[in-house]
Amino acid sequence: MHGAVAIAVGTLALVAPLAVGLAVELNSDGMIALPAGLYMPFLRVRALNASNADATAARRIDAFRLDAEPVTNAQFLDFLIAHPQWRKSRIRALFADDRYLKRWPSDLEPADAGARDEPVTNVSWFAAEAYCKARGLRLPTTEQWEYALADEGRGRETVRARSLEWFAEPNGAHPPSVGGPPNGFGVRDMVGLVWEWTLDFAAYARTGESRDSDGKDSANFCGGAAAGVADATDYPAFMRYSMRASLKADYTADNLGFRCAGGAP
Amino acid sequence: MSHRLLFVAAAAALVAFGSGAACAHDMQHMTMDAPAEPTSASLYNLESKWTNQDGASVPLGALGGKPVVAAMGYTSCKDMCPAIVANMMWIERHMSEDAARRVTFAFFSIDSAVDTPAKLKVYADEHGLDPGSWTLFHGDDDAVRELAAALGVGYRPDGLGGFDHAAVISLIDDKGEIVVQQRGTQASSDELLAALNSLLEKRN
Repeated sequence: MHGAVAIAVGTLALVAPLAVGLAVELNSDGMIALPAGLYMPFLRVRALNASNADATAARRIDAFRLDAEPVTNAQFLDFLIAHPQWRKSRIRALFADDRYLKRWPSDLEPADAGARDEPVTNVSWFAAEAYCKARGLRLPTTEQWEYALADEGRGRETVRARSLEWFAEPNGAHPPSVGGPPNGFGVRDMVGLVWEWTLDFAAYARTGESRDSDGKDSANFCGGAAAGVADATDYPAFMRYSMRASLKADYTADNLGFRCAGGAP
Repeated sequence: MSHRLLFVAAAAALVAFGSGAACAHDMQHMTMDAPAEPTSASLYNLESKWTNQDGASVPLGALGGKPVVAAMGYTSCKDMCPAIVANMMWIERHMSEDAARRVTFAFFSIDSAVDTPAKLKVYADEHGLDPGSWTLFHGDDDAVRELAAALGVGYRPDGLGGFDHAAVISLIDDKGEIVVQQRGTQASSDELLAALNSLLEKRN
């Protein structure tokens, strides 16, 4: 089952090795319409009584829309103007830690002049989700985000190489501005600028409690899910999933941003 | 240490144990007395609406004013949820009758599709949960996701109509701030019980 899908993806990569000349649907709201498709999750989760076939089957992703780029400081500023309760002087401690919008000198002042087109960072899950909701959108699910990155197998090596390059860069004071090259779907800056929140980041988290010294999930997760990975050589994917597993909803970080998703157009 | 280094450490843990490590990152607890408005770290800043087992609509903030022992799960769960509820009942049993009445035991269902208020009522009756101190809540997907985020309860559909979810029992004070959490069904409830008794003594 897994092999068949891997071959299909490989064939696709041969047919379209470069994401050029593809019709990209960019809506006026800066969102990309992604078609429905099959997707092989990197991290497999299955219930104990599920069959192996269930656990290794490709997942069908429905059509959805995704921001072409991460949300920028300028866009987040517009949100803060309209929604004062999310400004850094007003944010409730429940919703963000004390590094919320750390680079912003004041409530409505995003870092410096050059920061307008940089991804907004130091935003919590609650703040990111509130921003998306204000636009009538949601954060993408982890599967939607990974599906957009997987790009039907196009440019897979480029993504991995760029990811590794990015991991090796020292943490800069600012992430670069948005506007990198589009992938085959037309989505930009999935790697190389910031890590991104997903709606269900916590679905991949372990509780990490030292109390449960057997190190198994079974005591912490109802159903005792077994997890495995699709491709043990995909180091950047390990990084993405372990990053998500390390998050809490009020957490903010210098290199953690987000983009929004919506239903099919 | 940079976050990226933390992530590398977490990745190493994932590779080694097949499970991600959680960064220690405690919620900020601010203590401000603001009777009308929830305190900054209060869970009652969540505007989510819930329905109790009697079908009444209840904003989360209505739980304020009493300590709450809270957990999330779902009633058709056969593995871990019974253990969570059993742990909560253990806590209730180890309090004086008078003290137990001054506490709310709250069970929030993560299964918004199946766990209707009527179903929660049946579950409460079957388990002999005292309606004077126990409330079981049904909420929509948004309400569940937000509360789970605030309580640090990871969950995901298991593909078989149920959920995998973390076993977490939270002690919440009368202002809505998390005092202590018990994680894992094997964990002892002694610490939570002691913290609860201490909360009640302070209120005397």
